[in-house]
Amino acid sequence: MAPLFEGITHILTPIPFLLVGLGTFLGIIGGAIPGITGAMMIALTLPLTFNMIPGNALALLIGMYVGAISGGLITATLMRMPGTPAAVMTTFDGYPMARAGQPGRALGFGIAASFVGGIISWIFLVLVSEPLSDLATRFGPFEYFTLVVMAMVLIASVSQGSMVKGLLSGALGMLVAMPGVDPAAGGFPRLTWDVLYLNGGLGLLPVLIGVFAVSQLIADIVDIDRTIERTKFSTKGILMSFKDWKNQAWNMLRSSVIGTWIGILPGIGANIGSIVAYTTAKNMSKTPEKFGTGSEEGIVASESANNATIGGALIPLIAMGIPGSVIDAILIGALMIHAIQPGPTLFLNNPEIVYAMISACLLANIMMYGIMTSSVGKIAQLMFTPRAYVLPPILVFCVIGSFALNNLFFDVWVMLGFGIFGYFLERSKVPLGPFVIGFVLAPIAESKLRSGLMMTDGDFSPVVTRPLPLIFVIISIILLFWPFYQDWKKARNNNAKG
Amino acid sequence: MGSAPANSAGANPFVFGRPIVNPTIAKRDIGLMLFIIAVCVAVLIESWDLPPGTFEPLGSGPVPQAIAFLIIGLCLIILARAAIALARHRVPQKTAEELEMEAADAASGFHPRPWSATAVLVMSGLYIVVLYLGVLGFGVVSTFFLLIVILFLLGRPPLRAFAAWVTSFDRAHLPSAMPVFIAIGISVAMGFGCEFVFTKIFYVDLPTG
Repeated sequence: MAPLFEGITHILTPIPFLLVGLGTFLGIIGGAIPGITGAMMIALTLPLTFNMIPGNALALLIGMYVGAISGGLITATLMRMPGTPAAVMTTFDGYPMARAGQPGRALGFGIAASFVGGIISWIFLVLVSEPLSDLATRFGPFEYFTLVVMAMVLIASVSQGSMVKGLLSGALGMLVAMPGVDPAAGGFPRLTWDVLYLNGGLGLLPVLIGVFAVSQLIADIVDIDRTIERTKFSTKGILMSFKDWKNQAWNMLRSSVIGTWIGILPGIGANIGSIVAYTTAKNMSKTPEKFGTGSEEGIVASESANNATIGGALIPLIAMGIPGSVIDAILIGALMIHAIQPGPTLFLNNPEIVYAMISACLLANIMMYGIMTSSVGKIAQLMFTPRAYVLPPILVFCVIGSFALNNLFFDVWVMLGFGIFGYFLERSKVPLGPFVIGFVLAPIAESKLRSGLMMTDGDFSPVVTRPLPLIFVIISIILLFWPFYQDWKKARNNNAKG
Repeated sequence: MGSAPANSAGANPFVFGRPIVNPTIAKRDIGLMLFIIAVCVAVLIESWDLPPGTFEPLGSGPVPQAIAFLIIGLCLIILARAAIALARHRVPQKTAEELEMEAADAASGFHPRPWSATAVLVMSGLYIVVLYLGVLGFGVVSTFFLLIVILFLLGRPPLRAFAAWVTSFDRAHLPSAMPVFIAIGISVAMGFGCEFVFTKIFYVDLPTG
């Protein structure tokens, strides 16, 4: 516990404290403006952290992570437009409640639930990450390789829409990670087509900014004339009464645990967590018919769970270097940019970074609750800023962000190219999350596989002869074929019905 | 979430998962998948002659080749599903949510602006080229770029009002021309502000002209 208290003490010193506050505030604003996602904001902020010490940089980014996931509930409630994908389920009950003349109360439930979800998942983060990290340090290369493969299959199988497209997205991300000089093969350039700039591989930042920010900007410009329904806002009921706390306590606890668990599963983010918690709350409710019409339980379930996924998703990141969500994949990138090796040894080699991250997560949740309850009215006004003023400056930030790491215009073209590619992927309903996670995980998977094969002199059999890799492989196969089986069964039933 | 097609027709075939029922998506898929397959073929050709590993048994080639083959396989599945969808459903099959959104868009007179996005991308390309040439500093180039893009996205009415105010100095035009003043303010603040912040505080080597 002593390192944790040291981390908390450090995070309460002026600069980290201000950075967490700034990150949380900017995250809430970004989350509250439709079209700006948490992943986009964090990718754009990453270049600003180059000159910071790693602990401070991570504190800023984690503040932004918590803020962005929480801020999405404002637009979801007042405009029926989720500020971030994580707040989709909140629209179903938040908006009807706001329309019924209780916008403050709807937001109050959402903010309180977000806070509780964040704190409960933080407790799990503190309790679980170190023992899990200890366990992961005993993993050999084959264990780690099969774990990454399982994570990739899991991401694809739960990504929204078609699983084939989820798998395609992940594989594309892995392919994009392949170019560059291959140190394990004697420094020979691979897939560079004699372009010198490709010797260092495609940069993480240009690819991230392109895929998450530029593609979203293109989509936002296409839809720039779309008008959005809005409701009148008042802060009445923003603080939950004792009775409300008592009534929602079990729902909050259950949804937070669900959110934390979903967050721990590699690659699955806040949106899936809120869907599962919402569905569970509806199934267990005494008044399921109220869901979708302004149910307090619905708002609480969705918001507790989506914030709980943050702490949950940080667990595999800290313990094993496996991203629990898309934003965590960007955080892994942040660690690598600051020359910190993510993975099981993070606890051993950089405990100060780990505890700075854990402490920042706690502080950001507390700050989020304070900022949201005290100034949600003013933040809500930002939703109505015309997008013609917002989008072009973001485009300039994208250019600076991709240029900043290497001072190369090649990276700016890469960013623009991946922005266009990302836009077309989205238009075809190919999810972008697996792409980024594949891009981050592919080099890890390849290096572990190579290490393993060097140890066994080219023998693949440990993948199925060692217990843990075998378990991971079996889970991967089940995850891979289960959705196909279900669809096949559904198609057969439909055909039988005629 | 997960709403069923509002007007699904006929039995569903099974081609590695639920088939696409929206021909619009299917048409998009065909173009995109053919492009991805072409990229993968280029990757296979480029990686074919990579030397075997010197220090380890795997070498550089097999992993990208395996991924490229996997991608081609997945693309072929998506192409097959798209072809089935196009053969079976000539009319787009829309979900209840899509129909609801379409009705709301029709009521508000919304039209998507794909050409605006294309124009902004072209402008962005020109912006990067001008920055690369280094003729002008980042602050000047970015200010002009921002002003042009913001005014382009705002549309003609504010510009017309601004032109009317400039020619007549009639205060009645000022409220309608206000977005142009805001655009100028944002462009100057962002263009020169970013140059100052990123070169003086974050030490990014932005072109200074």
